[in-house]
Amino acid sequence: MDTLSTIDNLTFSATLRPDVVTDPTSDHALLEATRIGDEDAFAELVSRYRNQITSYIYRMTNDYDGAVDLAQETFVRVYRAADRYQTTYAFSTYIYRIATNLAISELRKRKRRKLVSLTGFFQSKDGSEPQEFNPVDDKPLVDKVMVADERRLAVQRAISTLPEKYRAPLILRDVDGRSYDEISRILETSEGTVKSRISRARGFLREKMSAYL
Amino acid sequence: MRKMNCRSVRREIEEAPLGNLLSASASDHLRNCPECNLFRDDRLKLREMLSSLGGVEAPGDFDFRLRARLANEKRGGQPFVMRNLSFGFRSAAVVATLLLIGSALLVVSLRTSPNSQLSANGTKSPGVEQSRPNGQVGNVPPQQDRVDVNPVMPGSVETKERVAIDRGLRPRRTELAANRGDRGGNRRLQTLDTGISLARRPGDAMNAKSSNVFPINASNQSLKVSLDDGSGSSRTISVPSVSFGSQRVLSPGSSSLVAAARSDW
Repeated sequence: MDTLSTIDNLTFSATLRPDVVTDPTSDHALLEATRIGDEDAFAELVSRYRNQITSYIYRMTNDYDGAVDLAQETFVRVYRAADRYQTTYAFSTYIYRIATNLAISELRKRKRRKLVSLTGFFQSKDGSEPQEFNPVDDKPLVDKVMVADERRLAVQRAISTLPEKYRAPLILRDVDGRSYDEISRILETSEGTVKSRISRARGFLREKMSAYL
Repeated sequence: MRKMNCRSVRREIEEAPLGNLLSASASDHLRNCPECNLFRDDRLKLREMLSSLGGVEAPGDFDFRLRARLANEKRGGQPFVMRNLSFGFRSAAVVATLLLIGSALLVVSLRTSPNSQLSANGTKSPGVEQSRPNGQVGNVPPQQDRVDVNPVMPGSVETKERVAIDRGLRPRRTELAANRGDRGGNRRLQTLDTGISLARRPGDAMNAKSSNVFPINASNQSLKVSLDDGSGSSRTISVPSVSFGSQRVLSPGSSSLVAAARSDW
């Protein structure tokens, strides 16, 4: 690890060992190699998870540039804490936990700053986050692509209005397709709590998206 | 019974992975319960919409930026940025800074205030000086603090004069003349221009080079000095009191000056 001193020393375009690349369960091995100074191994980890983590944080924060920054911070923390990493859980659980904590921290910072979007005039009933003003468009739609895009935007905006404790499990379950067991480990809560929160989150979304269902 | 079944069926619908078939009992229930059927359709659509969101891709320069960030950390560490600190730390730092600035301003204002110096000198009572051991003038750093420092050095030329002064006696001229040594036979009248040099008290002859401290407990009356040239003719000179600001520097009540004026000028 100490061999890394300049940008050029980090070569992410890896010439990786074949066994590491082909083995799908070798995240632990890659991190172990990263720990002893193998930058290529870390490059492989980054290439495996960068899109997933960026996407997950983007769904959480609804801000692409911020999501990229936080995804990078996630990998920096993984790299920095490689020495302390324990192989108790899957690496994906570990990195998603870091990303979740960063995303929730960012959401709380935003809440402190009390950023109010121009369309967020309507507060939710529990006063947690501003809801988007999202009027239903009753005009006939002419293009399926447009319909799909609008629906996606509406879903994303509806997700971003959810309280953070409901948002993370819903995204992990319904967008990323992770199991309840993994979600409970990522969020460090019980499986029952995760199921309950996901169910409530769907209920909230059902109300917000009634025009599209 | 039916309501309980609805709850368990809906729970099964919620927890089942997207696209998976429900159990046989749940499927039977759905055939006979339109509410649960509607619930299933809603949930199915909602989950399909959520899963259709898909993922976004990281930008093309993600690796480069990450590399730069890691290399920067390796080189010089993370720079200290205030926003990296928690809210509590930031608040504490701001409060500490304000306190520091406030105390610095207070100290500066106290030092520059003229009354503060006067009061500081006024608080120096003779008792303070008495607590200092004789002969340790060099250990008194601020000369302004010395109100009446005229130590009697054992074995010095001025010892007898000083002892006489301290006893309230006027030293005899013969003794003073004998003590003057090289000036013993010279009867010329010597003057001292206090306008261009510091006034010296005769008793401070030993310490004149290191001390220019004057008493401040002078009265407002002018200083009258009687001069005798030794041949019988005498003159009386009235010297107005000299002050710098509010601090008087020549005192007519100074016993050493009065005692010396008669023969030492």
